[in-house]
Amino acid sequence: MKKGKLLINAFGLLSMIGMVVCFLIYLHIQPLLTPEMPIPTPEIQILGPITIPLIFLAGIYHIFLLLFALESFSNDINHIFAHSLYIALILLSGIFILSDVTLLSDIGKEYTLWDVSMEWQMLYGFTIFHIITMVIGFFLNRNRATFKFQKILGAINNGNDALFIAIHQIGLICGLSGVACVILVVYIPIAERFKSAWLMALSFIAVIPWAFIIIYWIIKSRKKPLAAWIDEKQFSDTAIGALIMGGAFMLLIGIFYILDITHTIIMPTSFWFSLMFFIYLLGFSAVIVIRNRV
Amino acid sequence: MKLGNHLRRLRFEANEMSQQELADFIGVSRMTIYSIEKGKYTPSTLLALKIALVFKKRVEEIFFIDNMEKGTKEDEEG
Repeated sequence: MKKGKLLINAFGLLSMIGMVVCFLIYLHIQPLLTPEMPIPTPEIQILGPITIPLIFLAGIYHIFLLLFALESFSNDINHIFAHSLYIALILLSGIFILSDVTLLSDIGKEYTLWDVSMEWQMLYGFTIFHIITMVIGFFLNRNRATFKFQKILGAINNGNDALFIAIHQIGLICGLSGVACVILVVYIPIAERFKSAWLMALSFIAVIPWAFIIIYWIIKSRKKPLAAWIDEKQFSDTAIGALIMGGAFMLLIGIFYILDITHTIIMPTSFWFSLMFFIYLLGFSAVIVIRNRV
Repeated sequence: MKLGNHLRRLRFEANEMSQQELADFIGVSRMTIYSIEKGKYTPSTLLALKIALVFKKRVEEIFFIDNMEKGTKEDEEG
């Protein structure tokens, strides 16, 4: 047990140090990668590939953190929101790790063609995000040694509070993030032809934590009959959430339609789906979270 | 008209049963029991009967209509 704890902590420390090293490498390489230097120096050719295994290490540690987080779902309703936020943080940070590899690849191919300073800024931002997530995870789990897969994937009790409330808290976070992403992309100063792609990518990222927790809940409930997946109060809350959002949504669609035809808001047609989807998710989740506050 | 209940007292009398224990007995979430106790949620007939079974009491010994109980008390005092 003690050995397991030591190993996990050492791995966590190594991953965090690795991310810090990556950050320093990026800072060092960025001024050296200029269009006037189409062939990278030997220094860059050595330092650049070092980041890949370090990023991979951080990715593995994120998986550990996620498994620890899922295992420690408790019925302490007062701390569920912090826990839900933490899970969303780990998932987003994990997705951005994949983006790190893509960004490095893009920078490597495109630095001679056009300005890649935006890609560098994203890379720095994501790296800081990974470090913060790993530091929080490290301190929360420094006394953990192993995880029990049975507890993580095993069946849950009927009407389990923690998971039900977490789904809707994460839905609230994702709904808010999604709406913010749509507004951000509308006003961000990039070429119009790139906006749809940006929106698709950001919407996908915004919805992933919620989709993940829903799938996790399905896995945990898989052995129970469908009628037992939620208890009667949860069913009632869900029905009330749907009723309120059904009415509010019709009103909202009417308002947005008027704003659109009078050109008060100018938004590409493809944006409406994302906006409506995230507004519905936000409202529906908010109703259920409010009805389940202690 | 609200639905009142003696759930908290009955849990205390039953060896200080926790909300979670009661919830596990009858197959609902702890939040459901909490909401019933606080008067925020009215249980279905089936759930009320299950709760009565746990405490070995009749449903009307556990649940009451709030202003009727007040009215009964005023009559008794009067």
